[in-house]
Amino acid sequence: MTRYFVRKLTIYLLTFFLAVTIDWIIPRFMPGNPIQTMLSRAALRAEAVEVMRGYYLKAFGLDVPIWQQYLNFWKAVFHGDLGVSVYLFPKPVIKVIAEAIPYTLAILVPAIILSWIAGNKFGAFAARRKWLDSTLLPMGYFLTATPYMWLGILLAWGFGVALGWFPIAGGYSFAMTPNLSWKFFLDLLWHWFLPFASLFLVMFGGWAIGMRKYDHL
Amino acid sequence: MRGKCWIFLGLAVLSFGLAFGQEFPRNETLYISGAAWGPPTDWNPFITWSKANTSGTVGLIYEPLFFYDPVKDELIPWLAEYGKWKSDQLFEVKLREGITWQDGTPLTAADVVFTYELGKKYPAIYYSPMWDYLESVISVGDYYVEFSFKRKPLYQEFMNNLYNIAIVPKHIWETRTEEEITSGANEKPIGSGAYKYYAHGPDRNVYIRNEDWWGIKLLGLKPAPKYIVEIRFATNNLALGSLLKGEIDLSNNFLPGIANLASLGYVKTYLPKPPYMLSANTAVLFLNLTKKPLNDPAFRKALAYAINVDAIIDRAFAGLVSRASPTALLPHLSKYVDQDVVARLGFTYDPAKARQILAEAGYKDLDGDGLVEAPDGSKIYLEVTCPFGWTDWMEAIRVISESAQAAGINVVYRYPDYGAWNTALVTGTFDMTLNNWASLSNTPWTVYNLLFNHPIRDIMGSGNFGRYNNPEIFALVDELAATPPWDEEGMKSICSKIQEIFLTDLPMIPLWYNGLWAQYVEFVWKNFPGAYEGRPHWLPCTWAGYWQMGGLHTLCVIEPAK
Repeated sequence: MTRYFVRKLTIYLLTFFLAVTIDWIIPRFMPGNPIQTMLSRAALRAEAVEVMRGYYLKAFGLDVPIWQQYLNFWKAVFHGDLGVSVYLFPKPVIKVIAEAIPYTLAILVPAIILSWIAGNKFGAFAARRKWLDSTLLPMGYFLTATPYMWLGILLAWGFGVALGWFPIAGGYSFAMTPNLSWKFFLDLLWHWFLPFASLFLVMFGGWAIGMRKYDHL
Repeated sequence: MRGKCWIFLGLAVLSFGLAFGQEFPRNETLYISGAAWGPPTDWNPFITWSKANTSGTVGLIYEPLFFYDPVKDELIPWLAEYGKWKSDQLFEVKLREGITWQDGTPLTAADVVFTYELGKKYPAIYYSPMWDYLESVISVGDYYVEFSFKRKPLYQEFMNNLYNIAIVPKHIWETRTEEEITSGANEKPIGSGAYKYYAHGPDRNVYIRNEDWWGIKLLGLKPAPKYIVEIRFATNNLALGSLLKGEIDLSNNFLPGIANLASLGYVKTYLPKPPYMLSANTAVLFLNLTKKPLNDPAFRKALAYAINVDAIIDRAFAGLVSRASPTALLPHLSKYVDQDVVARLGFTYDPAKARQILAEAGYKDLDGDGLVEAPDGSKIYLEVTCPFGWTDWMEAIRVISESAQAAGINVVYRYPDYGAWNTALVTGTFDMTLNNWASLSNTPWTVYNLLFNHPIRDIMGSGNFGRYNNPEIFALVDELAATPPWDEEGMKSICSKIQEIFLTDLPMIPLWYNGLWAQYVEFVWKNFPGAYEGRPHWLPCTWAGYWQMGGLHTLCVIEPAK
């Protein structure tokens, strides 16, 4: 048992180390220089370019030797300090993530939980009825093999564009600012439904056929 | 289980950061799109490159001394009541009396002096080069500002800056550090303009009308929409769909299908006939003159004759743009085009002529593959590039490659990632690439400053990417910059000399005018500008830098449709 956990833990740590390292390597060694890109659109004269380059190098922590940048990156990872965004300068990366994560969780968590419950229940239910087993369950194979984003496009086209039942853009109505009211909540739910459905249906298909298999054992 | 969902949704609602808000009434709200390409990040008028994403920062929130009307080619006094040259080295501005900042503080000459002097204090401010010739900017009383110059100023640059430099409130900015001023986010901006910051999200900016705006009384202008919601759509298809449904009123996106929709009457555009759009800037094919055989003027000329611009207009832009003048000047500056020079040295699409020029210059197909070799017998291989994802330009460089191949020149197309493209552009490692960074302006100097930017440095960030090194033309561009705007004949004569050298050497090839993309539907708002039926003439554009070139005036002339 201990050996099992030690082995697992080693693999996880190694994965973590490699993931962080790769994450550090990719933006530093890919072609293109983001600071150059930021500076070139500003149409500054040569001295000013140097001053601004100094700011940006410091802001992104690129003004120290490369090995130190790597060590600093590890230090920052453990402090939850992800630095300043290049793409959304001068916003801190942590703030960028904080602003985006509610949307991710609000779609992922209900999709995972609800698809697990509904998929298993439906799988078990269908496996006991031959006509469902041979008609609806194959749909499960189809759904689970569908890429989310492709199903998302189909849903947006069908229910958003063709039928016009759901919005095709935005996290909430463009006519609203976020507020604690039923109206806003329902609007949020309305914008939430199609993205949620694209994940839910794919996962639902997976759970349903999985449950059916176990049910037959 | 349902409880958990409620918690997460509740968290999602709370974490937006705004505790309350309301729904914008449709008949008081103008929905626009087409300016932003990324989420809003800052409202700092001194960070120029990110303003596309918060384009209202200059024009709606902060205002310059003057506005500019490109259609009539005239400066419009704005914060300034007037500006006049008291001598050729002294410019006086009289501010309007009764302007206040959005926090109620009066706007005075001290704010103007403070803003201009930021450029003297900090080299990272984009207009700091002006201080090479500015002696001082001083306030005389509360309403007069005097700009005096050490020597004859670069008039063209100075006048251009008059409608681009946004005046900021001294009482708010004077306590900030250099870093905050030159690269701070400036959240919750306080300006003097017709709109105030209201809210933002990753895909939107919301502005609310400033009911106490000075212009209502002093200019007799009042913007019609109470709210402006600017939306960034993930794709142009979404923008098109929303426009046709009337969910947005004005779109400044490039939408290839518009020519059809406009001719069928589904949407309105500025021009009732092709190309439907006004011209916004010139797309120029930059050639790297440090590489063979692009260093040979005859080869470049052959290339210019080989490129089928009409096919680009047709295939890449579905007829929404027009062919550029070989001089690169936009139509509203055509008085500076020397037609005689163009007639003698201009070029058109003529593959036979391209082949003839190549043959005369010693480029021959030695190995019979249909492509010419250089006079020294070496094979020619050139790449033409544009950033990946810029679909109209991607199609354009496919046409460039095909038509060059058809004339016997081996040009292939490549789409690097934007970052890699940009680095190759400014460090001069590309072969041939498209660029259009000189925006619509009041002077021919802007585009010639892009094409013939100098001196040649390791990094050419603001133009002359192909490193064309010709001191004669550099001197002419400097002379143009220093020509007073009232000396129109002088400007014409210098432009003519520039064009003579430009078209003789042809170090880069102007191809077409990118359009001022604008399409609108009039379900909620009507009387959008256009060149017909007695409509207002203002540029209906919401891009960064265009609010003061017609965008704000557009808001003041539209009316509720019902």
